[in-house]
Amino acid sequence: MSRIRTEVRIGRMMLRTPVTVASGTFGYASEFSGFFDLRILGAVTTKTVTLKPRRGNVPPRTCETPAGMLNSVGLENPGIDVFLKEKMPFLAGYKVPVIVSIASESDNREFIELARRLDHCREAAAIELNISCPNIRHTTARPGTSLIAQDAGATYRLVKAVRAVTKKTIITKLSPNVTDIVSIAAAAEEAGSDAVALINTITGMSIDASSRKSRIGAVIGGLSGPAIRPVAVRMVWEVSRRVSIPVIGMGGICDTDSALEFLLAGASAVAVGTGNFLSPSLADEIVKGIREYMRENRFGSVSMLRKGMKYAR
Amino acid sequence: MKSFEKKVIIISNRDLKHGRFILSFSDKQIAGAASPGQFLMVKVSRGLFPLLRRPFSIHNCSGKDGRIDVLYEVKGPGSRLLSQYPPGRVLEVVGPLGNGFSLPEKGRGVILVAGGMGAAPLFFLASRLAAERSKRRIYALLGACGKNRLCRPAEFTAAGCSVKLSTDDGSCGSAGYVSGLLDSFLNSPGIIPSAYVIYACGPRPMLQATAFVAGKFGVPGYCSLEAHMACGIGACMGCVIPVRSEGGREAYKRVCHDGPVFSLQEPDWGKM
Ligand SMILES: Cc1cc2nc3c(=O)[nH]c(=O)nc-3n(C[C@H](O)[C@H](O)[C@H](O)COP(=O)(O)OP(=O)(O)OC[C@H]3O[C@@H](n4cnc5c(N)ncnc54)[C@H](O)[C@@H]3O)c2cc1C
Ligand SMILES: Cc1cc2nc3c(=O)[nH]c(=O)nc-3n(C[C@H](O)[C@H](O)[C@H](O)COP(=O)(O)O)c2cc1C
Ligand code: FES
Repeated sequence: MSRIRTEVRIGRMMLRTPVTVASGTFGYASEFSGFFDLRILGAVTTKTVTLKPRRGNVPPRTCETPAGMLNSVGLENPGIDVFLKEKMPFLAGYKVPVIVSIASESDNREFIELARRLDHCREAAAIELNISCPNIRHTTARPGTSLIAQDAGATYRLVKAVRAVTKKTIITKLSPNVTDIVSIAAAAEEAGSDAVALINTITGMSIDASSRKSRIGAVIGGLSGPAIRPVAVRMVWEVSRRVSIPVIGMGGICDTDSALEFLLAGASAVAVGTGNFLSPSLADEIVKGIREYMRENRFGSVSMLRKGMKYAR
Repeated sequence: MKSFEKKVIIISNRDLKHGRFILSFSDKQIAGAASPGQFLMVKVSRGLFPLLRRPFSIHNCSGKDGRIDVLYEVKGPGSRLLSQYPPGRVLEVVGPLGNGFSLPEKGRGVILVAGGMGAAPLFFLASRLAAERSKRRIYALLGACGKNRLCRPAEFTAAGCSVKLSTDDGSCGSAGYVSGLLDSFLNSPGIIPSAYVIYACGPRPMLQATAFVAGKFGVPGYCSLEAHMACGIGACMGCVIPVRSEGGREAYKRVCHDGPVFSLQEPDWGKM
């Protein structure tokens, strides 16, 4: 068979391979650079950054659950200034596109300010709008909801406002904690998002019966890992069929086959999250595994793979 | 600081009784890079349970073949699985990780203070210091709740330490906490506290008490802390502890990346 093309385009960004990493699970990439060659990745996605430094939530911030984990990190990050000065230069040294994840603690103005700053940053290939972190509360969403990503109108307004200030590729990161994720994805697309990324964590809790306390300091946290994968694959499948912008799929990817589930469900690319903790070189293994699978099953391109799911028996 | 992700082969996994085991494997790269106080992230299962790796200190590194020992206690499902692995089985480890102990300046006396399994990383330090072949005095103050829980006193003696023991229930050595043993040791005639440095590891309340005693006598020192870890390499921000930073502002530091070794006065003990 002729050449296998693993490239995918997301907005104005070309990914060499359909594999990136999930924000918050890969630090600022330097933590992983000793374990594999980062240039094999399609893109690196950095830990969500906010305008001001954030201290994050009280420990303990993680606990293990059946086939998964809860976290209540609370977006601890050094703020955009330190990020640009101290974290970006390392990433710039690698020829790999950088997706910068951003969030605001209060209202849309912070998102806009962050997007403006990043619009001037040559090293940032794309901006990911984290409107779905279950560990912070947001004021612009409708009463009764706490996340922008739980409100199609709020999602539309935010993406539109950010679209107005940047030409960079915009990826909107969606929450699974909704009744109809398709309507939120459609709102992001309509407002000019170049892609959607899903899923962020599912809110969850775990109680230690002997101490009668929550196992994490913030009581409620976000569930990630293989436990959430079927939910994530279903949502990626639903969204991919209904929007025409690329979908970046994630949730519990921990080997090549689980990454392929997302691509077969219609994702254009996948992100390795909690899996990075299980093995720091997992993303590398998955890049190679996907290529191997494409060769063996005669998929010449990722777009063919995306259409490769069979329905009838 | 270089870390490696390796598949190693278990050489032995010996039952030391009372729920303790010592596991050995060889890896020249990890052993070559390791310093006392550093740890490994060990994959304890093949499947999805337990999902996350478990952190274990390097108990000792020895020999030309890069032999590494891990001393561990069965606490829950992960350590129980580990204890069932036979020699010859492949084990996935990442390490060495974290910042180890800053070694003492020449001539300074050393006091190792261990609570229970806290002795695990201190033994590597003791054997490194023994390899110096200097005249340095090394005391090992080992504490535990009872006689059976005392951790490898004979091995510390063999490594050249003067060993003193304490048990909470008085079944061996002096009765009481090991921080109390430290207090009376620093008070004993002929001991000049300022000529020593403390290296402590154990449960948090024991470390807090040790920090208090060290502060009282003006002895500098370090402690190795534990926290729940997901990644072990500084990426997830999960394993933080509150520290006292400059200007009194509250801050968090990652145990896996900024630690696990901290100065005794750095953690904000009151907030832990
Ligand atoms: C830097 C470091 C070095 C350590 N060195 C040693 C050592 O040399 N020998 C030794 O016996 N133990 C050591 N520990 C503790 C050891 O990691 C835990 O006992 C082990 O993870 C328990 O796993 P489990 O599945 O058997 O028990 P679980 O049922 O999961 O937990 C039992 C206990 O271990 C704690 N624990 C569980 N998971 C973790 C985790 N991922 N990180 C930290 N604590 C956890 C829990 O809070 C609980 O108190 C170290 C911990 C750290 C952070
Ligand atoms: C420890 C931890 C921290 C995370 N931090 C962020 C974050 O800062 N921003 C974000 O958009 N998602 C964050 N996430 C969510 C992941 O990016 C991902 O969407 C989710 O974990 C599902 O994928 P997984 O099951 O493969 O981990 C975090 C997840 C974990 C486990
Ligand atoms: S365990 Fe992930 S940052 Fe320390």
